Amino acid sequence: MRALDIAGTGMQAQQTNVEVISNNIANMTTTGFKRRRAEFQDLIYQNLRRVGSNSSDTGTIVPSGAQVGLGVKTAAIYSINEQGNLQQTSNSLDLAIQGNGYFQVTLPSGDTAYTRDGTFSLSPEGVIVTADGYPVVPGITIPSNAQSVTIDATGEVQVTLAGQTAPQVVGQVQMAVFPNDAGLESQGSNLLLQTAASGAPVTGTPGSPGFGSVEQGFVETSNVNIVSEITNLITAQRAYEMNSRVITTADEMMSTLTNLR
Amino acid sequence: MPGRICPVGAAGPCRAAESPVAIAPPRWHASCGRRGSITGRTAPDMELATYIALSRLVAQGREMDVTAMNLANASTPGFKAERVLFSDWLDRQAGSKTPPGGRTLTFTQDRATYRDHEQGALQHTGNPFDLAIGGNGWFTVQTPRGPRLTRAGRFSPSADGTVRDLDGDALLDTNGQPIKLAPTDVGIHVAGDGTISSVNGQIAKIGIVAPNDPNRMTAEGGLLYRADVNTSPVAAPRITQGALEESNVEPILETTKMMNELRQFQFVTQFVQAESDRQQNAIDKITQQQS
Repeated sequence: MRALDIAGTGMQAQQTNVEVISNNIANMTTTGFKRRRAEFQDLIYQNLRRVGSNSSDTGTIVPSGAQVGLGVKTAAIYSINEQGNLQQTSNSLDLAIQGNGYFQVTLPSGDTAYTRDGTFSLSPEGVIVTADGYPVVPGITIPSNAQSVTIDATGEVQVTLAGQTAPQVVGQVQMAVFPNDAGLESQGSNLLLQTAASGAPVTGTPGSPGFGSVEQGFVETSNVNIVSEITNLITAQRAYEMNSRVITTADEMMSTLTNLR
Repeated sequence: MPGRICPVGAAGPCRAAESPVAIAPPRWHASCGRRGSITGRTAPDMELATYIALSRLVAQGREMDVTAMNLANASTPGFKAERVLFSDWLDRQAGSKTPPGGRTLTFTQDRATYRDHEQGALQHTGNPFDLAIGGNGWFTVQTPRGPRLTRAGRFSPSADGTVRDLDGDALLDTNGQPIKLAPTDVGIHVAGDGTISSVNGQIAKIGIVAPNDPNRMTAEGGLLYRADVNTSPVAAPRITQGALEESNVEPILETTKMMNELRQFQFVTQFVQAESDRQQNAIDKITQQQS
């Protein structure tokens, strides 16, 4: 009886689904987090009677064949790159991206990672770094005698130094865009890595065509929609229960057969 | 070549048509003439009742497998529920002439499975390349085995800008060509008729086709179907961007069916048990008479 194995694949798929949903709910307040979705596909089919096989030697064909599928598999878990809400923080080094693009960060290994999390601060040397202390690319140093920092929508960083009235440009925030955002690999700590699926990054100035703009004093919240996550969780739980009912039923059928003389 | 089937496309050799999966009726009695015909009616075969019940049990097992498959895919986007079609297999027994209105023996045969092509619910995902088809029609994707049809509208642009599905198969436009986006194509909009446009203007139009006979499709897994007949473009496709078509499996219906299947299975099994007892009883009585 195939029903046992088929329902087993169904339960495994729903377990993956619940894991993805719980990760979304756990990250509902993580800055710059993009919600994920598990995608399922049906497994291969057994052709018990082939579609379109001849039913006589005069060329008549059966109108539909008999195919029994063998279950379900997880095809992908992909991130949904919908824009999150912008939340005001009034911190002059908090940047939110409105639209397409990622900030670039240099990892300790020397590789470049990409993030939408713009909660930046200053290192002891005055360099703009992420919450983990990784420098933002290109490196921008804020002088220690700066009174205020202004970052405009195109990413130009201006500071007003003590005793001066005219602001002074100290750097330019750059952003990267990818042909396929969903192909980026999650690294944890809100960082993403380039893969063969994502394609090579194209860097540019915020606000130019194809690039989002930056908002100073805001952070992008997670795009997890709690209502839809809870709805999905209920659906996943019911689907799990139904698959376990299939197993119980198939078991009962087999036990009926076993008890037959 | 009559009586033989050749797979559509180049894959696989021709092979003899499959015989229907059914329990072969016990014909050997008929051929050796042991079955007598008294007053034009067929004398019942000893095991026949059990064999008929067995044909039902085998078919029931198949139906259970299909229900399990449907429930396992209750949350697979673009999945279409499968249904089982039973037919009766009439045993017109050789050597006996059943009078009109008389009884023939009827075996259950699970003749075919078919797809329920009812529209699934649309679920909002917010992904610009998640496309759902409303009403009739299928997306065409280019696989290494040739073009295949799918209702699972989960696409994304790959590293070179080609719009592909989860397995990396390219989505085809109305001319049967892959759809390629330039790096500057942002703000992707998919119109209801399948026209893809960006800030740079129109890019391509997604080809939505339908097979000329919806039953002549072979499911290959991975939500792909092979059309065994020609396909033609759908006149007025309706595409929704940012949504996926959910599986059209109705869990309540399937669960109810499953309970029904179990009870029928148990009922037929009880029948087999009772028949076995009856035969045992008959054998006991006959042997008692002889002794």
